Amino acid sequence: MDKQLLDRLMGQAEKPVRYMGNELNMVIKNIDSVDIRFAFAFPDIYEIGMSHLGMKIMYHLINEREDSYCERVFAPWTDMEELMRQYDIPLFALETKDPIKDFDIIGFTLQYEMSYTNILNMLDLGQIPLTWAQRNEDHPLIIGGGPCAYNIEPMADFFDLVVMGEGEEVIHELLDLYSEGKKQGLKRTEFLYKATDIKGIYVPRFYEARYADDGRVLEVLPVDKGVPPVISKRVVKNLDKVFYPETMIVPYMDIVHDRIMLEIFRGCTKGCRFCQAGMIYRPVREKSPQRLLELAEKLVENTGYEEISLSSLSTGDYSQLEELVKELMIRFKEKRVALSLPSLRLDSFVKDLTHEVQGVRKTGLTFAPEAGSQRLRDVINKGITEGDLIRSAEDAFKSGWTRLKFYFMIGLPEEREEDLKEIGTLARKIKDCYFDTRKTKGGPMPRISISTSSFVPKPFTPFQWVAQSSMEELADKQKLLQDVLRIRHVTYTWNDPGASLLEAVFARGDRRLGKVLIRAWQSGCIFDGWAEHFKFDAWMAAFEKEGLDPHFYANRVRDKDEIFPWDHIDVKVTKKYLWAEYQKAVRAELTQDCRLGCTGCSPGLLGEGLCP
Amino acid sequence: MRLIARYTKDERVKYISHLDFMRLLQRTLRRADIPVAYSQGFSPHPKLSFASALAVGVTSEGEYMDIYLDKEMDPKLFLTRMNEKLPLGIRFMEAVTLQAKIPSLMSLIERAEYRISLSHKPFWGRNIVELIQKFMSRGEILFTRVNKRGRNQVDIRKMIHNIRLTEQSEEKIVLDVVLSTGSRANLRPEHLIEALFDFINVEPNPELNLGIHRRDLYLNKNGAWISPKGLGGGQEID
Ligand code: SF4
Repeated sequence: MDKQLLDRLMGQAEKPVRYMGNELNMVIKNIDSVDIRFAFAFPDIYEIGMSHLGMKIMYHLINEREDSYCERVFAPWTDMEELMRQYDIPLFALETKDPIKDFDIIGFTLQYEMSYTNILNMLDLGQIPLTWAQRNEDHPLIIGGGPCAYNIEPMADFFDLVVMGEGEEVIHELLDLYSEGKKQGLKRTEFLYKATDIKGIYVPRFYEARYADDGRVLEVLPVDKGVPPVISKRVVKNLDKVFYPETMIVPYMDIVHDRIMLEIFRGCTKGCRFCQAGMIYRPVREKSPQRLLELAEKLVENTGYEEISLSSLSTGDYSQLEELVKELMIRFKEKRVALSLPSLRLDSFVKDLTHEVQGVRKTGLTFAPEAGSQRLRDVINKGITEGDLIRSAEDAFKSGWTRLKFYFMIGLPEEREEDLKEIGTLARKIKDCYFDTRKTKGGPMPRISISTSSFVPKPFTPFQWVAQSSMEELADKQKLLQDVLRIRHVTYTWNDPGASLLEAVFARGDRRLGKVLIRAWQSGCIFDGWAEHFKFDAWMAAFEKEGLDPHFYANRVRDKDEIFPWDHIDVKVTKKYLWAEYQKAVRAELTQDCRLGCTGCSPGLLGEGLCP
Repeated sequence: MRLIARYTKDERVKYISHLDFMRLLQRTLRRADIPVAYSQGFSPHPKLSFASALAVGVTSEGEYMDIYLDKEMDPKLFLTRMNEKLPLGIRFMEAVTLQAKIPSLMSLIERAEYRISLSHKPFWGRNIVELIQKFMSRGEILFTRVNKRGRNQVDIRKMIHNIRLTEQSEEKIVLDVVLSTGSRANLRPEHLIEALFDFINVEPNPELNLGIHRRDLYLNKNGAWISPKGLGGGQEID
C-alpha cells in the first residue's frame, strides 16, 4: 500500500485528523516483536468511536500484553471512502496505517443495530470477504462483542466468533489460545472449535437454526456435541481489581465525549422494563472511591483533560456519590479540572459545591422521564414521579439553567392517547415552573425541548414479547404530540419511524436476515444511523427481494413460550423472570430497585456469589 | 512573566487544525504543570496566543507561542517539561523571556517563509529560474480567492516577496518563498501554488503539491526583517 499517497489523500478529505492517528498516548509498538496484530474496529466515524469507553479499555488492555499490538480502525466518512476506492487504498489501522486485512484479528464492537451495514462496508473496504464461509486461512479472524452481540443472529454469517459479556478476562484467554494455536499451526476451524471451551465464546458456524412453516424459530442447536448448547455471558467479579486504563488517547479533534471517563459502576438495579442495558449488565458492581480517585489522578496527569465525567447507567445511584464528588472537586480545583455531573440528582450537596467550582458548564440539562403519565411510568417501572421532575426542574432553574431537555418514548406497551397528552401537560407545568421561580421579570426565556424516540422492543427485556407500534401508528402519535406540544418556549423533536422499524427488526432478528443486510449494503445502505444517509426504500426492497417481512420481526406479538433466536444465550436474567416482569407491567405494578432487596432475576448471579 | 517559545510540527501531526492545536497545547500545559496565567472575568482563559495560524496539512519549524505565566520559571525548564508531555511530532526548540510591553507576536508578524515542494512533471523542459523571473516581473498578479463570503479578485504580487529555486530533481522542484502573513496582508502558500500553475496553464491538482513546510516567521524591527527569536532575552523591566 502506498502510504504516501494515503497521506496526501487524507489531506483532501473533509477532516483529515479522523485518519491521521498519532494522538497523545497512542500506543506504538514494533510490529516485528509481537505475535498478534489486533484491530479494534468501531463501525462508525472517528469522533463517535473515540468517545466510547469500552474501546478505550480494550485498547489499553490488549496493549498491556507484550505479545499483542492493538490498533484502531473506524468507518471512514463517505468522502474518504470515495477517495480510498478511487485509488485502491484498503481500509487501514490508524496506528501503523497498515491494511487491516494483514492483521490476525479484527474485533468489532456492536453498539447499535444501525451500524451493521457499516461493518459489512468496512470488511469490503478492507478487501476481506464478508462471510466466514468465504474466508480462508489467510484472512483475519472477524470477532465481535458489545451489547448487540447478545443477539448476534442477524450477523451470524459474518462473524467467526463472538464474545458474550464483559471482555476484560475473556480476551486474555482468547489471545492466549490464539497465540498457542498460531505456534501449533492450528487451522482456523480447529482454533474456533477449541475456543468454544472458553466460557462466553460463541462460534455461530457451530450452530444451526431450524424454522417452523410460519417463520418462527424452532430451535438453534449445536451441530457438534463438543460445543456448548448454551453460552453464558462473562461477568467480572471485582471492579476494583479489574484492569482500567490509567491513560487514554487524547484526540486532536472535537469528539462527542471529549473528557476523562471514570467508570464508577457496572450494571443497574432500577429494573426499567424497556431497558436492555439494565438487564444484560447485571449485577451492580461498584468501584471504590479510593480506586476512582487514584485513577482520576493518573488520568488527569496523563491526559491533561480539563473535564472528568462519571460513567455508569445511573450515576445518581452510586452508593458513595457524595464523598466521591466532593473529593474530586476539591482535588482538582487547583488544576481547573471540571466535573460534569449527572442531571437528575442535583442534590443539595452537589449544588453547593457547583456554585464554588469554576468551569461547571451550564449549557443544558437533560431528564429522561420516558413516559408522560404516572400509570405508564409504572408500566415501564421507571420509578420517577411528576413531583420529582418538577422539583428537579425548579432546582435547575434556580441555579441558573434555562435550557432543559426531556426525553420520552412513544409506542410503549399499554400506552393510551391520554398518556401522550400528559407529555403536553408536563411540558406546560415545567414552563410555568420557570416563570414562578424566576425572581425578576425579564431576563432569558426558558427553552424546554421535548424529544421522543420510538420504542424498540429489545431481546432480554420484559418487553421482548411485545409488538412494536406500526410506522403509521408512530407517525400518528408524533402528529398528536406536535399538536399537544404547540406551546410557547417548548420545542418538540421526533425521529424517523422507519429507522425504528429497522432497529426493531435487527434487534430481535434471526439468521435469515444476513441476506437482507448484504442486499441493503449492496444497494448503498451505510451509516443507517445517520438520518441523511438512511435509505428506507432500499431497505424495503432488500426485504422484498429476500422474501422476508420486516413486520414479522418488528410488529408481531410473540407467544409466552415462543423460542427466540437468542434463547441459547444466557445473560443470567431468566426468561421466567422477564415474563413475570412483563405481566406486572401489564398490571402497572412496580418492582423495587434490587439494591433494596433481591427481586429474584437470576439464580445464576446469586449462585456465583455475584449478588449479595 | 512572559515567554515566547518556538516549536515545530512535523508530518505526523500536520493535519491538526489551528483550533485543535490550541486545545492540545492547553492540555499539554496542564500536564506539564506550567503555571499559566489566566485572564480575569467570568470565564477565565489561559493567557496564551500564537504568532500565526498554520494551515492544515503544512509542517513547520517556525511556530511561536506567546504565553504569560503566574510564576517565574526558567525557560529551559519550560522546554523540558513541555517536551516530556507533548505527543510525537511536536517539539519545543527555544524559549525566551519577553518584556510585557512588547505587543503580541500575533500583531507583529508580517512575513512567513515556506519551502514548497512540487511535482516536476508540469514544469518539465522549462527553465524554472527564468519562469520564476517572468512570473515575478509582472506588475500585478491577479488571483481569485474563494471564501465563505464569495469570490473576490486580489492582486497577490505585492504579497510575494521572494521566490527562489533551491532544489531540482527528476521528481520534484523545491521553492523557498517569502509571503505576507498576518492581519494586514496574508497570502496562503496554496494560493501561490495555484497562481503558479495558472501561469503555466496547468490545472491545479492536489497530487502535484508534494508538501509545504513553514521555515520561519518574520517581523520588521527598525527596517530589518528578523525572526521572533531575535526579540527575546529581555528581562521584565516594568
Ligand atoms: S439476582 Fe437479585 S440482586 Fe442480583 S441483579 Fe438479580 S434481582 Fe438484583
